[in-house]
Amino acid sequence: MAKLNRPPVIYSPTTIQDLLKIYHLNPDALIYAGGTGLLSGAEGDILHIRGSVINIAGVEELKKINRTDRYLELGASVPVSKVIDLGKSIVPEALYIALKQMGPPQIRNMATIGGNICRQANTMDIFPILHLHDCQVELRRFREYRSPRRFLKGSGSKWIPVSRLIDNDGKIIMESGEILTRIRIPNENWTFESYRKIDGPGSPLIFTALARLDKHILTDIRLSYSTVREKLIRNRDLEAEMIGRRVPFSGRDLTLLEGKLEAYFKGTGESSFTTARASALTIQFLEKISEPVDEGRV
Amino acid sequence: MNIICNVNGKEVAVETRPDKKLSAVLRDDLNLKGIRKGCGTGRCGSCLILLDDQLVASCLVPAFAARHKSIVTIEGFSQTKEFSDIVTGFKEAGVHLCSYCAPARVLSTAYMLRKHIMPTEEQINDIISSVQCRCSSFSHLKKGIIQASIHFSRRKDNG
Repeated sequence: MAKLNRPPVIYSPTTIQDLLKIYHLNPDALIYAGGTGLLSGAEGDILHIRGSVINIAGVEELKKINRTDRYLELGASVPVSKVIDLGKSIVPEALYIALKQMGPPQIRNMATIGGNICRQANTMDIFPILHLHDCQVELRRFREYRSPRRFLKGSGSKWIPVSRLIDNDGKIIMESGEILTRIRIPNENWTFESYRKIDGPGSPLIFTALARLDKHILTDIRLSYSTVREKLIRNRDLEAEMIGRRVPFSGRDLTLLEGKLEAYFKGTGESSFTTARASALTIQFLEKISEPVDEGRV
Repeated sequence: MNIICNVNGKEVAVETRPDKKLSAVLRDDLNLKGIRKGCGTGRCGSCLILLDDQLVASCLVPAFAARHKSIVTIEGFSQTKEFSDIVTGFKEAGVHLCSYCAPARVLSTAYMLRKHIMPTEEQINDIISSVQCRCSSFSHLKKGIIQASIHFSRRKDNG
């Protein structure tokens, strides 16, 4: 029989201030929100968690959803199912599709938005969508009150673009004791949004695309590709080349773009399978936006 | 760690490790055998429970996360009128479930019908995906859930 290690120490804060203070004092503690990432690999009935765990499920402030004319703001502990319940008219379509595909209802009820962003192990399903939508995230950390002359709140807060949350190696950049508390998604109208996740040999590929058309002119396009190795591949030069063009694209244009994309992907070191899939998905998207339909979302 | 929670309408205190899976606590410590042991990753759906009215896989919930929460398992749910609505609906549609998935299938159907009393096809397909057992055909299950929803809504209309 396997020897049992000491049970973990559990902290259950109910306010942000308590949470930040506990995390400040225990920077190595595991943050428990939905638990899908923490527990899905565990074998047996005991999870053998070492050290301490901070259960943030009781922090109501992290479960808030706020909507204004300019943005949709989600607390980091908002379950995926709650975001889906907001509906396609409120949630960006690519995000809605990604969340729906995240698993069966029991997983979506547990998984949280913040958890999906902060987990290192997965391909970060929603990260490319948030990146293309220019979302911002709020990071907070405990801040001690030092000078009586300076007005300092109990916690230091900063908003950063989601793109600044990961480094070039795809690792989350967060300081010790820092916690992701809110995600702000700007309200923007995109004519077309696409999200595709394709399992391939070795690594899944996530393709995310946004396009905006104005009188058959492509006024903006954003394309991203994510694999386990490369969290985000984005070729802004290629995007810039497409902006301003009239749709539908000609067959010659599409072939040229395909060639450029494949050449770019070869430089990233991705497998030929991933390159071929990425290229096919991009062409599929460009063909879709070229279809003579009303300028509505697909 | 002493875990105090409400299980099937009764206040229960269990002395257990905080990192023990809730499915194991319910099965072994509280003898609720309607929770089946399955994949352990939350995907097969055999250990489904209602935790604060949310459908969750109890194998993904550590014991500490169940403190002061309300848990409904099939043992508790089988005492309700909703249970008989679902079972009647399933019987009428000729759904024959194996004993392994039946508790989870009934609980997941109840969860959906509480949320959407007249579910759409998409919502029905979605809830069927919560349990991966293939003992009953997809089309029978669909019909069963529709029948259950009729009984469910009829009873609600009658107060």
